[in-house]
This record gives sequence, structure tokens and C-alpha cells, in this order.
Amino acid sequence: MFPRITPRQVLAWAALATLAPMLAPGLAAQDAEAQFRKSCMSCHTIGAGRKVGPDLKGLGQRRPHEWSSKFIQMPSAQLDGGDPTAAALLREFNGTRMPDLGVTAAEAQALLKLIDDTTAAGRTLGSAAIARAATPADIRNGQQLFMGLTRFASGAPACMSCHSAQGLGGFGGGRLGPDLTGASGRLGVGLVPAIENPAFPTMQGVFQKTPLTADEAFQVGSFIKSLAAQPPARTDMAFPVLGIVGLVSGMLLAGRLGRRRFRGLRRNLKPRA
Amino acid sequence: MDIRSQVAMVFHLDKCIGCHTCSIACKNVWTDRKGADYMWWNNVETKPGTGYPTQWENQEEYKGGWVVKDGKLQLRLTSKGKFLQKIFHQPSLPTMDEYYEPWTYRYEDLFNGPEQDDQPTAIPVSKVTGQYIDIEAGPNWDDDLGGSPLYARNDVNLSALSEEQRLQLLSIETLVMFYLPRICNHCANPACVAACPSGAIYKRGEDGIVLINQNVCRGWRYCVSACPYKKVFYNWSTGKSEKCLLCYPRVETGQAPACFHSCVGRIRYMGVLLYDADKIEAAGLKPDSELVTAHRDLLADPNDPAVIESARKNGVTEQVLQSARKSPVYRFVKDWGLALAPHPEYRTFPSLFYVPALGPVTYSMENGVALNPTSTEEIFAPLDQARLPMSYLASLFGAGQEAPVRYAMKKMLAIRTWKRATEVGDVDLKVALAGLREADCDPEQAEAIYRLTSLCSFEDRFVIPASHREQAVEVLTNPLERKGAAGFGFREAPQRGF
Repeated sequence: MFPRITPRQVLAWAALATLAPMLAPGLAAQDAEAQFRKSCMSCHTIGAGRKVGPDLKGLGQRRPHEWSSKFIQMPSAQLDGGDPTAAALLREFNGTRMPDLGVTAAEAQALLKLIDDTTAAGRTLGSAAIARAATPADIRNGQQLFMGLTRFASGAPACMSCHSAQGLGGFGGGRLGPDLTGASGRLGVGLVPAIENPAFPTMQGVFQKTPLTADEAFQVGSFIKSLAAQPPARTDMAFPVLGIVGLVSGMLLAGRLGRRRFRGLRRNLKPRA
Repeated sequence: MDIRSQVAMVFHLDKCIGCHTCSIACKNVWTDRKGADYMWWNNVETKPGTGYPTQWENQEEYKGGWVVKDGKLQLRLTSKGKFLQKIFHQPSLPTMDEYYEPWTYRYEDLFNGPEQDDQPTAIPVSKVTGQYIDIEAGPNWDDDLGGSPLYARNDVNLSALSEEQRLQLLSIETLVMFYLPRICNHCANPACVAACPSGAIYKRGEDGIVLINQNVCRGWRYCVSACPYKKVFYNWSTGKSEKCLLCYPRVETGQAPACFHSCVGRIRYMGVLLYDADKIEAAGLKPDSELVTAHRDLLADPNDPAVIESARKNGVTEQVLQSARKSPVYRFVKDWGLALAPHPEYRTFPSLFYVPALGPVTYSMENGVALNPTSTEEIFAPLDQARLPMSYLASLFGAGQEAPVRYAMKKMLAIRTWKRATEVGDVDLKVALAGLREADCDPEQAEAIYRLTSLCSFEDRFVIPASHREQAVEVLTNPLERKGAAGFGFREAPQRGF
């Protein structure tokens, strides 16, 4: 039997259908925040101070929305196009260029609206970079976290399960993600933010629900940075040589142990008197 | 006392003409399949010769059978501790070369060959590669002393002979041979059962037939190596091992196995033996010199009330007990002492016994030339003038001991002389009787042996009890239920994998 549809149910559905468009702006705002966390927050905060890029609090007052929208959509065009404001910003942030993130015009508008709303509400989004220099204790703790000897507070998996790096001992780390020995050279100042709010789809999937704290990200980042200062590991010849010697001696041993094995009778028959 | 019943066999080698009918009967019934084409559950060997597979008696290489080590009976092949080490590479298996590369002929060439000056021929092609092969070996490659410079000379039993005896055996004037048909011995102490890591081989309780459960066999092939008679074969198609099953579907219905039934020379006898399973281990620990006696002591007298009681307690049926009392095997082995197990030194206690061949044993020579015998004395010369040295037969049937072989041969010789005296009359009866007494025989026994050897009927040779499968079924299920439900069922062909 199908359930009977009562008039009351019909009314409830009609009300829901009318209300849905009114909920849409709220949903859009949530989308913008999600995108901010995903794409922007590695480098920017709203009201929590400078990071890799500028604090975006009060952006609406500082610059026209039109300029900001263009810059968000295609920073390279502004930076290379000789825009004076862009050039000044590039100088201010030590030549760190904002990458082209493929943001559409609609998304840019939503993001600007989010920045304005957050500014107006007096909220903050994101956390500022830790500015102090890394201590040996930071590096040691970072290594512990990287190797999973200390757990992340959120219970996130250790870096080592997917990444390898120099100085992790004989077996190295995982091979799923890239080797992070030279990551500080590739990411520069973006390293710690990239750990805290990773912009990589694979890492987002893993860390979205279990983000690292700012301190943890700083310590892991310090550890990875410290690797760059170390001389590169020597290619060890002992291992392949040992392998070949082991193989040969293993085969000799197997041959010796099996020397009394059956080697065929008929072919070895000899005429005897 | 733990009395069990065993379907046992006697092959009378004096009557074997080496026609291979038994092998062909078996091949057609059981091993005419893919992967089984090289198997000869029944084969006929020429002795002296290397047999099939080549030199199967060479246990130094094949490591079959049991040995006494540290006062315990152990497999020569391996031990409980060591077998795991070699389970994936078992080093004592015969190779294809010790058997032979199975082949067939390209018969279609006879019909499809192009028109030409010569007749088309069917060339031999390997069943392994499908390519032409130059046949180098076969299941009876050394038949009738074929290739004797190589094969007969490498007979393992010849090691028991002196250099002079060997030379004499192989020179053309004194050449000698006899046939040795072989099937699975269905031993009382089977090494194949002991060696199986999967527990797939078992000795049937009701009749002692040794079988391989094809559903349990995992193809480790320990049985192939452990069997000193090399009568377990590995099927490369199904990945399981197979062996002679003594045609148990025939035996269960009171028929003799195919090789027995088809035997042209009527050399084969089948009957029930009762044996005491409690004595097996102690018998296996005896030195070589006492093995033949120890083996005979295992076999229990079916007329002894204690034996009958113990057998009944083990579930041996009255029909089997009755049949054991009429067993031709018991008479040949125990009553008369004529039949001997092959290579008792392997300590598996075979249920197959051979009456050694008397046929070409005696001979008269002068200046290296054979004399045409003119009198009975010349035909039946003393055993020590036998063409085949007693030490050879002792190596084959007596664990190196001449006494049991000599006893059997002497008795058969005495009976022949006795029959010559009574039938032909060219031997003095008193001399013949004296000979008979000397050979531990009397006219009555001589007559019985003569009858069972020469005038035996089908019923004399095969005394097979009803097996009562319907009662065996009762253990597992209600027979009335089974009667309504059982049919041919789903037949599952053995195949590789789990």
C-alpha cells in the first residue's frame, strides 16, 4: 500500500518550496566561506593579521571592488600589466606573487561580499602566521609529528604515512605524496600556510575534518625547512653491493644445500660390465 | 591384537608370458586420459632390467620407503620436522626423463598427405610439445632385454652379484630373463600415506585398498617420492596424484580387477588376508635378515578363534572371514611359503606377493655350450646350477636373504620332479619323495600346490568376499533414505586449485 498523502503534507511542501529561494543567499555565503578556506586562507586572513599575503580586513574601504575583483580573477594580468597598486603590493610582500586560481567573476563577487560582511561583523577568519624564528625544539617536535611519534591534536594522520623526507631513518616515509625534502624551496614562505590550510585536493580530503593547529603546522614546517639546510644524502653504494653479494652467496648456499637432490637417472646410466 | 582384513594378491611369475595384456586392460579402463597418459598403474618389467620409472629400485636416489633410524621407523625421504623446508621444491621426484615423454602419432598425415612417390607416414609427436620427437624412452623400453647393455646391466639388484656372476648373466649363452608385472602393492605400512602432507591418501578399513582422495590432494607429490615402488603418479593436467585403486568398483561387486581378469597366463590370485596391525611397527624394526619371517608373522591364521574374535570386534564381516579361510593368497604365502613380497627391505609390508620364476633356472653346460637335456636330472639340475643366481632373487624378494627364496624354489623344483615321477614315470618315485620331504613338502601338499598352480579355475584364483557397501552406508546415513535419494549425483572432475 502506498502511504496516503494528507492535505497537511501538501501544505508543508508548498511552504518549503516558497521558502527555498529565500534560503539561497545564506547558502551562497556559506559557499563563499568554504571557498575562502579552500583557496585563500593559506595566504590570507580576514582580521587576524598578515600572512603570506595581506590581511584582507577592510579591503572594500581600501580599494574599489572592481579592481579587487579583477585581481582575484587573474592576478598575473595585473602584476605583469604594470598596474601601480599591484607593483607596490609585490614589493611590500618580498616579490611573492599571488598565483592564478581560476576564480570566476561571480565567485570573486561572492568572496568580496564575504570580506565586506566579515569586516562589518567584526569577525575574523584564519589565523596569523607565527613570526618567530624556529628553535631546535620546534624542529625536533616537527620531526616527531612528521613521523607520527607524537599525534596531531586533531587526530590527523602523520605526514609520514604519505610523504617521505630525508632523515626519517632507513625505510623513509610513504610514496603516495611527493618527497618533502626540498619543499621549502618550492613553496618558500607558503610552506607553513600550505601545511595549515592545504590547497591540494588530496590533502584537503584528508585534513578538512582534522585540521592542524597553527603551532603544529609551524613545527612541521620548521622541520621541513631545516632539511633544506642539511647537505643532501650521499647515494649509498653499500646497499646494491650487499644485494649482489647476498644474491650470489644465497645461490651458492642453495646449490650447496641441494647438492644431493635428484639429478636424473636414465640419462646418467652408463654401460657397466 | 588388532586384526584387519586386506585384499591381497599373488602373482605366479612362472606363468607370466610378458604379454602386457594386464597393462593394456588397466590403461584402457583408468589411465587413458589427459595428464595420465604416462601412468602405468600396471606395468610388466623384464628382469634383469631397470624397470619403470628407470631404476625405481635405486632408493639412494629416489629415497622411497622406510628406514630404521635411531631405533625408530622413519621415512627415508623426510621427517616431520624437515618436510616443510622442501615442500615447494621437493628434490627427490623422478623427472619426465625417468618416465618418458608421452607421445602419439600424427595419424591424419596418412589421409591428408600430398600425392607423392613415397607412402605417407605418421610421424611421432610429443604430447607435451606437439612437436616431432625422436623417441628415446618408453614404459617398457627394456622389454625382453632390449637395450640390455645399458638397461639390464644397470639393474639395481645386480649389485648383489659378484663381477663374475654379472658377466656370466649377460653373456649370450647364459642370458636369462623373467617378467615382473607390477601394480600398487596396497601395503600394510604404506609410505605414501605416511608422507602425504594433506592427508589425502588413506587405507580403506574394510579391504585395505590404498586410495587418494582427489578432493583433498594438493599435489605436493610427497607420495610419489615416498613410494619405494614408484606406483603413485602425478597428473599434470589435474594437478593431483593418482594411483592404482585395485579396481575397487569391481572388487566391491565381487569381480576381479581388470588386470587380474584379463591375465592371459592366469598368473594372478586374489584373496583376503587377515593381519595384526599391532605388530606392524615391531616387524618394521626387525633387521633385514628377519623381515620375511616378520612379515609372515603379521598375517594371522583365519582359523584361530582369538583372531576371529578380534576381527569380529573390528567389524570384519562373516563373509570376509569365510573368504579368508579359502584365500589362495594365504595358502601361497603362509601355508606353503612359496610367495614372497618384493623388496621387503623397504619395510612397507606389501600385500602383493610373487612366486619366483623357476622357468629358466636350470641349465646344463659343457665347454660353454648349452646341452640339449636328455634326462629329467639334466632338466632339473640342482638350484646352484641355476642360470639366474639365487643372490639376484634374494635381492629382489628376500631383502638379500637367500634362505626364503631357496626354500620356495627348492619346493617348486621338488614338486616338478614329483609330478614327473607320478605322471611321466622317468624319475624314481622314492627319489622324488625323498626330494619332496627334503623340501619340507609331502605328496598331499604337492598335489594342492600343483592344482592351484596349473588347474586353477576362476573361483580358485579369485576369492573375493561380498563387500556390503549397503552396510557401510549405514554409518553415514539411513540406507532407506539413501536408496530413494542417491543417483549418479553431480560428478565433479578433479582439477587444479582449491
